[in-house]
Amino acid sequence: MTFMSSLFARYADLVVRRKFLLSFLSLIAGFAVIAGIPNLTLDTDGRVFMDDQNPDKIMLDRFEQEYAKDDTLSIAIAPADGEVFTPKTLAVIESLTEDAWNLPYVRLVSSVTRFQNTYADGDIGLVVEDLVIDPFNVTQEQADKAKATALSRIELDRSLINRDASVTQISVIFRLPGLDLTREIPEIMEELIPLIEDNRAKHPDIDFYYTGSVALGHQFTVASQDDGATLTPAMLVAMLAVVGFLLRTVTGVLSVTIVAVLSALISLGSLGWAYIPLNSATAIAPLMIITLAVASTVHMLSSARQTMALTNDRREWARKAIADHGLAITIACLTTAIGFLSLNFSISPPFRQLGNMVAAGMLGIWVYTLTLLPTLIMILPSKQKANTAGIDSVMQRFGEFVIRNQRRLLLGIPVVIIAFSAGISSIKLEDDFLRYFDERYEMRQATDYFENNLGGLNVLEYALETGVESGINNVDYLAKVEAFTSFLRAQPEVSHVRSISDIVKQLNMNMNGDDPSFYRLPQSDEEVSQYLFLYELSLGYGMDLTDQINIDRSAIRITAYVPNTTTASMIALDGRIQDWFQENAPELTSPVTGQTHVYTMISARDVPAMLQGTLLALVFISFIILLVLRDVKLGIISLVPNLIPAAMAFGLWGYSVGTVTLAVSIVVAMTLGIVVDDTVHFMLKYAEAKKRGETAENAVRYAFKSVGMALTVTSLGLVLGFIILGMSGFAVNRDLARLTAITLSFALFVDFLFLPPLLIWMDKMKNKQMPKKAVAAAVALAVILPLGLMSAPAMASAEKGLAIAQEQDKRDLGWGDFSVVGRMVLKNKAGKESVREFKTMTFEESDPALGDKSVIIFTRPRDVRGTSLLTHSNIEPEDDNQWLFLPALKRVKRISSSNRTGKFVSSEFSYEDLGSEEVDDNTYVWLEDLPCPGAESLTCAKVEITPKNKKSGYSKRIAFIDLDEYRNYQVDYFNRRGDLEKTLTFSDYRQYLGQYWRAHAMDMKNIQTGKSTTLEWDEYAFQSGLSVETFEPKSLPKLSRGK
Amino acid sequence: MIVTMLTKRPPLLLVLGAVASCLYGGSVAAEDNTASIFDDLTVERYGSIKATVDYFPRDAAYQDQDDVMAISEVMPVMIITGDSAEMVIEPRVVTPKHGHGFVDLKDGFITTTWGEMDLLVGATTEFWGKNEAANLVDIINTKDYTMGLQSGEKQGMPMVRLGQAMGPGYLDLYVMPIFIENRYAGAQSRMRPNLPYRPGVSRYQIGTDPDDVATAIRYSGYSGDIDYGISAFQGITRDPGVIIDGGNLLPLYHEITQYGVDLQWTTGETIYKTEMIQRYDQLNQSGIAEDYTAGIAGFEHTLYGVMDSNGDLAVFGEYAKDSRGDDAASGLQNDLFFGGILSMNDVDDTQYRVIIGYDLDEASRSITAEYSRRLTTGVTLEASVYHPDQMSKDTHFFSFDRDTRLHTAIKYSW
Repeated sequence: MTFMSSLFARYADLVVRRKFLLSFLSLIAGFAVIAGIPNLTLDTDGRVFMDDQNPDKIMLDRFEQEYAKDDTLSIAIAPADGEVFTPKTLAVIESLTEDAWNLPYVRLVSSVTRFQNTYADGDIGLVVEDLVIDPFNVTQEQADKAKATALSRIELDRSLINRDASVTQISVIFRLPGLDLTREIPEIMEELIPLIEDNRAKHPDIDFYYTGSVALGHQFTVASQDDGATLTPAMLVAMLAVVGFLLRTVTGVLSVTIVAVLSALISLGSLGWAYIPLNSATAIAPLMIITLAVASTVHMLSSARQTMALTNDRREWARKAIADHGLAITIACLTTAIGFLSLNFSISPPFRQLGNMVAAGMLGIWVYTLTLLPTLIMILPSKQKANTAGIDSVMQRFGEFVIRNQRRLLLGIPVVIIAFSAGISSIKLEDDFLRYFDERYEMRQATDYFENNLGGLNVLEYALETGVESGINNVDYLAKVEAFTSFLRAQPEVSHVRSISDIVKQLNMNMNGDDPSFYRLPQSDEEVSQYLFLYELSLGYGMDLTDQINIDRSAIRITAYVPNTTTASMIALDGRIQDWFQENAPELTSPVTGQTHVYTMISARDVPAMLQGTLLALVFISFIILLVLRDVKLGIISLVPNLIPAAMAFGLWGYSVGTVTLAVSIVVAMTLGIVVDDTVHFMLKYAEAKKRGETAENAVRYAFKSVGMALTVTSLGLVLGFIILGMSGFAVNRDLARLTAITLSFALFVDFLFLPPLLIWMDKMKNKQMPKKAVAAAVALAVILPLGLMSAPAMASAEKGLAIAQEQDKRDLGWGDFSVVGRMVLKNKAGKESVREFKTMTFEESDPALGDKSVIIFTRPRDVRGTSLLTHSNIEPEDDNQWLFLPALKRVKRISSSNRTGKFVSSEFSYEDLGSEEVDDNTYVWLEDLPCPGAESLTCAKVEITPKNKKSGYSKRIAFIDLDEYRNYQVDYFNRRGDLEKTLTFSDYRQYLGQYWRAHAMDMKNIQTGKSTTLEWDEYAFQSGLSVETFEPKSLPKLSRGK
Repeated sequence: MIVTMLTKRPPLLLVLGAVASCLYGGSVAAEDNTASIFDDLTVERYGSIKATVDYFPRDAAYQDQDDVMAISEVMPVMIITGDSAEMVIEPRVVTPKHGHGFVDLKDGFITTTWGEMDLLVGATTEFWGKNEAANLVDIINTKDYTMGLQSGEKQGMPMVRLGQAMGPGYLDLYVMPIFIENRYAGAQSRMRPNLPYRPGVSRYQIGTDPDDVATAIRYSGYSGDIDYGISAFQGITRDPGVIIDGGNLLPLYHEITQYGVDLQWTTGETIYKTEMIQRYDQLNQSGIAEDYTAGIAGFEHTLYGVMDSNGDLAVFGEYAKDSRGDDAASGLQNDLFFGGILSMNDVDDTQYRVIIGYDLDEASRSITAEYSRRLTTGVTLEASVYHPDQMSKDTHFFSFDRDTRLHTAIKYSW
């Protein structure tokens, strides 16, 4: 401590001597960073909250590639007379539909007038035509007829029309090129908004509402701009008021403003240099920094204010401020920065960026508080103020109160703490992305109206796969699809289901003269195929079934719409749906996906991730405090006021509001750093006094006197600042700010009312001679007990891990041979792709002493066509036997195969990754069970796999194996240094011969380089009678020619 | 260059046209090079085009030698697969800068299984051997030396081949009823002897008839880490002697018998390989029939992931000896080779190769440095430099002394 103090004392002298130089240097450095601001752009895509690794997003991307990426706009139309089917309203709908077709990037506009109605006409056969032909000249009679039809059709129920035909919607689907969302969405909205306003003006007796993901994207922009315009000035004013109140000097306020604004700009500049666009979450970072800057600078200024009373030597004000508080300020900035940096553990990119931005800003705050601010103190004019004795005496009296009532507080406060914290159990994660914005926004009102009056906007998507090309025509399959559709409709949460089975049934009825008894599935596959073909042929412009059926017609997409549902009930609903699959159609089991689902899961994913980050931050921060206080006991006590406020805040939130968004996962980490500041200041002063020889109570008095006021003011200032932020219209920011404000309030509460009594009590305990043996026993117990508890599970984990690996191996035995065509797409960091195609054949050796044999024959690129690699796997630790065939020379060459770590054809897969494995090649430890990444409805065992072979390129692998079928869902590879190097995800599992599961898509992403390789497999052909003689070097020339 | 070559040689155009129409004519609907003619036959068609230019910057040693040699090769492939048999046709259509264009049927055969045996009837190329600098046992095919004596391309050899697994290995029997001569370039070519060959003209020793049937047998296989091959051949030599006739060289073909052994031992990252032959009745450098033994042995060691990259470096060293000493026509009487192949294992399959050869008797050396990679999908580039040093002292290759060569080849495959 003395070393530190002398360090800061010397630095203080330096600043006094070289104030201009230091300020100049710091300003230059600052401007260099600020110069990055012009690079900033705004990213308004809601999807920015999902990072590339997010398994839900990966699955969603794949789903969208198969079917469609729906960027939607839903325009609800509600005529005042409650009747949609009147000539007037129908004309308006048609006119708006036509105008909607002219919006940029539009792919399809669906409205009730253009609904493709099908019916039987004796002469022609099947007629496919608009529900309302010529809406501009329709008669009431025709409208009534259309109404009757519309209400009878389940495809429209609570989707295009509600049950009493009083509200309808125009659904617009866009295909955004996705090249520059900051322009594409505004382009759309620029044309849409005037269009809606126009219609509202022309038809005052009809209500128009618009919502949807495109509107949501626009909403992000609007909300960010709103926040920027209203919150920023409000915040600045409030901050300055706080500072002005304490310091009573204009120049003080000015100095604080300068430091705060510079630091905020630095945080923006750092983002600009990183070429990362701003988004709704990071847009508030500058505001946070301003708040934090105020808190930091206040300490310096309040000390100067105190010194002002003693001397009018400005240099002494600055020097003493730095010498006395420089350490505390440094520690505070450091711990705050650590707290924010721990946000890098979040799975959501905006939060990671937020953490880094604020950390950069903290750096600015630290530098300027110790260089520029003292300079300003020294050069700016300010009248000597009366001493602060008045204010300080309030604090003193408060300190006396605490000391007097220490026993009561020591017993009573924990009760309060527990009472509040218990509310945590009532907290529910609620991430409805359509409701991320609150009621003051038109879009939110529209969303609420829409879901209350028409139908759901949130969706659950399922893809029912047959695994066979054109398999959807199979009537047994369709029967199951129909059963599934009915099951979905029966669920109370579901307002509407979109399913091809409805169309097929309708067509069957039409093709049999509209006989209602034929409203069921056809009898034969051929009929299904023909009807769908005829239907698709006759559909209107821009309409087809490609967004419901995949390209090779092997799978159908089913969409369930759920209005006004909470995250919890959607998860429960999916749980029931997965149960239905298990009981009725296990081969069609589909994990849930869809835009809604990704958001639903986002908190669930981020909370555990951030838990790690928070714990790590806690460890670091505690360590730093320990270093500074040089006292283990004090260090441990300091944890108390650091952790309790967050627990109480969440508890209070649980009782009152109950639901919380994604923000919850990062609040603790964020507030940790800030809350620690108060504790540090208080405890440093306490420790200082104790070292001087004071009693515990006097030390507490000293602490209250010297920093009490500053702590109160800074806490109030912070709370005020975050309350203002809490008025944001964006739910994530709002929850974040409010929770932080509550946490900080509780922090002050705990720091003042609980910490001092605790300190005094600990001190008394120390003085009582605790029997050394008891202490030793207590320590021993504390250490051994956890160890003992840990080791028993450790052994069980190893056995369990081995059992899982053995079961996985056992389930994949007896397949004989298989061949499959594979395609490898290599992507470098810039996204440039190259493709390799090959055919591979594998032969299962039944003799356990021998490993499997396999051949890979390359087909693309064309210049390597025919190059083949034959491998005879050997049991570890023997190397495999490998032969390479070079078609140009017709040479079969045996090659060295000890290169396990080399990359296979420069992809992210190494030879080791692709080689076959035996159970005995590794040791296994089961870690935990958790939802499978990419398939939450399944439970995966997380197993740590350590290779026995020292030549392996990996120190370990972590595999996620589902406990139903023992399939790998994800494997994380850790290099020899123990860092995560790459992640392999498996998807599109299909079962062959009723037993063997094969993933049809594998994606290997190198976390460190950003490169990725996707491996896609076509249909596997099992047991096609390949003989073991085929897998000999002699056969290579022939195999290399073969298909 | 290819255009001028085509227009200057109408017969070549005809040949090309004939080949093209055979393989690509007809109204067979094709998608992606495969099509079904009948229910049980599938046809696959693809091919490649390669253009090579060799530039010799140093002045030619002999009259008529050109500074530039060039060649274009079109290699279409057609494979017809049926239930039990397969037909492969791969002609190599060559248009050189000097001399006539020609077509060599590298592969033109039908293969099927006959009982337990694999039967192949037609022309094909075979590879026997284990080493890198030279393959002594590799005797089946003759070569096309259009681009010089150091750049021989194997020519298809018509044969009937029977093969059967026997014991741990595999036995192949060859009967070659038709002899395809080596093809030599004329006076304008570089890397030729001091007296030029007269292309298309050859001589046969008395008692040797081109219609003589050559036979060969080979037993090959692997056991643990060892790959082996034992072979025997009887027929017309692929390394003819020479007769001087009016300022030209003419190849003199004669009958020989050869026994050969090739072995490889693969251990971890190091591979040891050797080939040994014993040949009877071969004409040596002095034109006298001599029985001899020759061998080559060496190692190859691979270093994986060199210089922190994904590249592999294979370094190798080989030593060749011939009992004929100076009289060895092959020039491999006491030679040392070493070199390295650096495969970058990148997306473009970039590779660097350096080979240095020393003749320990004559103190002549040569170095070849080669670079190859893919330029874009289906297009590959090969570029190399060959430089002979002190070659004028070499009794076998002195005629190459001024033939420093810059070689570029671009190949397009579809």
